[in-house]
Amino acid sequence: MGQPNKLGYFGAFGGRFVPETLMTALIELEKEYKSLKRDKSFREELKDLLHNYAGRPTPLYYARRLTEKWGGSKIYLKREDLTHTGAHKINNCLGQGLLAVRIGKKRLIAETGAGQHGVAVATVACLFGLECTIYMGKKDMARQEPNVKRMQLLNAEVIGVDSGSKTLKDATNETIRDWVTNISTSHYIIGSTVGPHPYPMMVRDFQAIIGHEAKKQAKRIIKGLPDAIVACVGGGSNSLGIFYPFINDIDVRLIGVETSGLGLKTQHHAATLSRGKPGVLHGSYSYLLQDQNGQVRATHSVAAGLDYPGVGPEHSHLKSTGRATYVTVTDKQALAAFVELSRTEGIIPALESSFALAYAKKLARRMGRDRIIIINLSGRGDKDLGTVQSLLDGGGNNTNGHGGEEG
Amino acid sequence: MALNIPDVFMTCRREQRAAVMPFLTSGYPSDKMFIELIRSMIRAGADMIEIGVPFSDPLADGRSIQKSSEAALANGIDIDRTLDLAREAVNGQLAPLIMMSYLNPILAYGEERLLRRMRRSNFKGMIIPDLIPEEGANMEQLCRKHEIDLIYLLAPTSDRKRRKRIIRHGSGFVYLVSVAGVTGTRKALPRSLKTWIRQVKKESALPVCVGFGISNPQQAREISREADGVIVGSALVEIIERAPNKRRMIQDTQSFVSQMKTQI
Repeated sequence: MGQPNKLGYFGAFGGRFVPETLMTALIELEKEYKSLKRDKSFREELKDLLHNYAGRPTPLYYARRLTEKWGGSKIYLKREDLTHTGAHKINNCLGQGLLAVRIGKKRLIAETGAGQHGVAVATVACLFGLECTIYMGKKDMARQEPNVKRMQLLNAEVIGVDSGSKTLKDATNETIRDWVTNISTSHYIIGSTVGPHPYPMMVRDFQAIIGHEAKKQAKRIIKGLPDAIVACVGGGSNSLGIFYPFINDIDVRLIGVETSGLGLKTQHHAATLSRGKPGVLHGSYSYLLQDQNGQVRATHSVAAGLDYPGVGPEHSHLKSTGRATYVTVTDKQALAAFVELSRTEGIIPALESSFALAYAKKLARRMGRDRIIIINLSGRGDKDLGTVQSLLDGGGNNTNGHGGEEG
Repeated sequence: MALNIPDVFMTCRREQRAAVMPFLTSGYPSDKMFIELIRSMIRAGADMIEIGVPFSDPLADGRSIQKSSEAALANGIDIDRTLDLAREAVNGQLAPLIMMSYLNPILAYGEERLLRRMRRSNFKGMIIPDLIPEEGANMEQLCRKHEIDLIYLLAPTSDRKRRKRIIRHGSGFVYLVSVAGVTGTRKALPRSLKTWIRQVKKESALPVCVGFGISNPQQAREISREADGVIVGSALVEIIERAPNKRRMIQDTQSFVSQMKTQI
């Protein structure tokens, strides 16, 4: 387990399924990345930025009131919401931004769903003095408006994508089209552990700092390892980031939480690993929500960052080996967790992270008092206030978290 | 029974001209018109026709083919219907068809199941824009078994090592992408294109056909001086899209293809 093979496969999943135009750049990127990974000055520069610019390490916080309220295992939150820009996305963007500068690119391009990745890319573009174009589905622009304004303030060109479902998948298509056209000047910062090799490996490596810190902190604070780690899975970067350093600690349960949206029995979900079949989208072979003709399905989630029909190939591999398990939580349950954490701990989580919270609640009760669970709190929820407010106003008493299922 | 792809190039060489290869999106703008369009293009002298199977996420395609794909999907087009429509359209014709499909619909259908059925519908070649030779071993083997040419794309960014690999692993012809970018019409083609085609021709044992961005018969003419074939897609899709009625649609596409034919 760990490194992909020469062609970029984690077990049966991964690879490179892209237009030929991109191949020379991908091979170059892989080579550069591998050499920079061993380059001391690169590592030190990144470490310095992660510390002094992004605010790392983030705390591992014992949520005492939440633990008491849930009445089960001890709950610790890995506070990625406290990083600069408000989500784990900055870890990857600082790494890839530095890489882009080293390989002489003048322009950064990226897709974004919830806008957190877009904001992080726009931020590092300012930091490194690079041009920046962000593609975002029009539906997501409406529901994550504060992030659109942040990106624009940061001088990024935000291009609304009107095709398909107008969400993350379509924004990714459009970014790949831009990349094919501007391959000589632009670096594509993919925001998750998806895409063609070397992206899934590279993004995971840049995000693994979450798990490395958590492990060190756990040893110090709880004098050992947690019993379980819970994280939400869209494309899979925050979850792989925290899982990866624990992969060989087989007593630590790794649980990825997907979104079952309005319910797995409806078509309105984005539970790729729970309901999909392997296929090819956006450059790799991995689980995919698709119809019988191989057309990619429209997805739904209240969380724009999870509203995606694909998933990183390493997650597909972890599912097939059984090292990680994948479950689902409905929009309603996540919304209830969003409110509960806010009012119990005074921490407003991102809607995406609320899916992990909602599952951890059930798990904490089942596992019992003498256990320890770490939840990756991947981001903060300021961006979601509009969405949550309208759902709470319009949707009646949604905050009790009834119903739902797990896969 | 349609000609095999190498026979087409042999004929063209004998006639000292390049092959003309128009592109159509399967089932666009309707099943019936699609069949009519194939027939009219054959009448106009198309040597081969590339048929695109629509995909929900055509990331190598520009606006025109994205739109035609969306429309075709909305009409319920899938691989089975594509095979049926093609068979009906080309019954008894000599011009071979070439299927263009992204990989995922092919995987969902079953590679071997598809390849087994292609020749019956006059399909002699396969173009998969998101399949590179590194990932193509299985497909190459199945294509050989079922006598379908697997045509790889070669891009302006492909270095010498990659060009060699593509030429060695592909069959039928090399699909040379004229510019770094997606499909779509362009006012001007890169000035370096001629030297670039010459370079690839020098290296390639396979015929070299050029596509992406060829908008009119004049551009086709320029390219045909260097290449073995010229592929036109988006420009035709736009003519179909713009046509005020069915009669004009047939007339305009047919005259575009015959102009290409006389120019090159």
